[in-house]
Amino acid sequence: MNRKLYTIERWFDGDTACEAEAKALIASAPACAAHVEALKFLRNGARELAQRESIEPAQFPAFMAGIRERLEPAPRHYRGVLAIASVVAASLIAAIAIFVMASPAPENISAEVEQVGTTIEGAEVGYYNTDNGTMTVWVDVPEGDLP
Amino acid sequence: MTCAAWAVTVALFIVPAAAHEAREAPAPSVTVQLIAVRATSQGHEKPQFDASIASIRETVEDLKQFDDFRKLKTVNTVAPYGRETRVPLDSQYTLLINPIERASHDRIRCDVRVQMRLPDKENKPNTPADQPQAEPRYKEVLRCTLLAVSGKPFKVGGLKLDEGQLVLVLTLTDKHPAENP
Repeated sequence: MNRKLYTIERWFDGDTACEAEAKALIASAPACAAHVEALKFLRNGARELAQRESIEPAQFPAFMAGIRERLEPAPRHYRGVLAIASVVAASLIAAIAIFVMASPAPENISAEVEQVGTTIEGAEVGYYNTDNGTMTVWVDVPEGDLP
Repeated sequence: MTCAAWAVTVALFIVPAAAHEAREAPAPSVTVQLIAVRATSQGHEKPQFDASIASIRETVEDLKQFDDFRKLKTVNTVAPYGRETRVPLDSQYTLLINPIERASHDRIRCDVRVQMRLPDKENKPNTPADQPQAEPRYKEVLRCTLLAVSGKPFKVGGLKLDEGQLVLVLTLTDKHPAENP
């Protein structure tokens, strides 16, 4: 059996002297035919290994990106959330600004206080609008203090 | 006569006339209506007012801690823009009103201050009688800057009187809102 396989291998490697014998063996013995197929498979595999892949300069960024993708952990997808939050915040600010600017000044109030103060030690000055819109500025003086 | 001479002649008539008119125009100002009230708690079932100040009932009705309102003083005066107008209230307090500017057609930005006169220092025994007395000293007990709506009353208060507390109801009115102050 080994001699038959050896004959087939010689023919397979290009020895034409044993071509007739090899073809006869392949035709008559299934093991020999299977051996030829195995040899073909090995040869094709060896050819593929022999073809070296090269990376062109234009492909290099994509090549490195592929490596990085494998090496680095997958980034968390916060960008979308942050973008939505930014849009919501901007919309809120714009809405408040429009509301403040578009709202007419209260019609029924008699005054708006801009600043208040007192030099009485311990006293506090507050202000409020009554229900009928009367602005009231009131000094709250502690008991016993001047004035 | 040349054109230049005519122009000079006309200008000589127009400029003094305009200056005279400017002198005649009153300075922009606001009218100030002040009602100074003594507010006390007397145990009345319902708040009581002087008949002369019944008009301020709505303005002071939120002061639930008081039930008796008596007029101390009513003042109607004119306060020019950019100047402080003093209004003595009693022997103790003085109101100072400074209309700063007209903020819009019906709003007046103004400073309202209340000063309290401090007790005079006693003269030293060896002070000559003919020496002028020292200037009274004041303490600023309340200051506020507000944007008042022309013709609408607001009030300031809380300052202590011998009995009760002082409430000032103020109404500033700009009768010429079209003029620039």
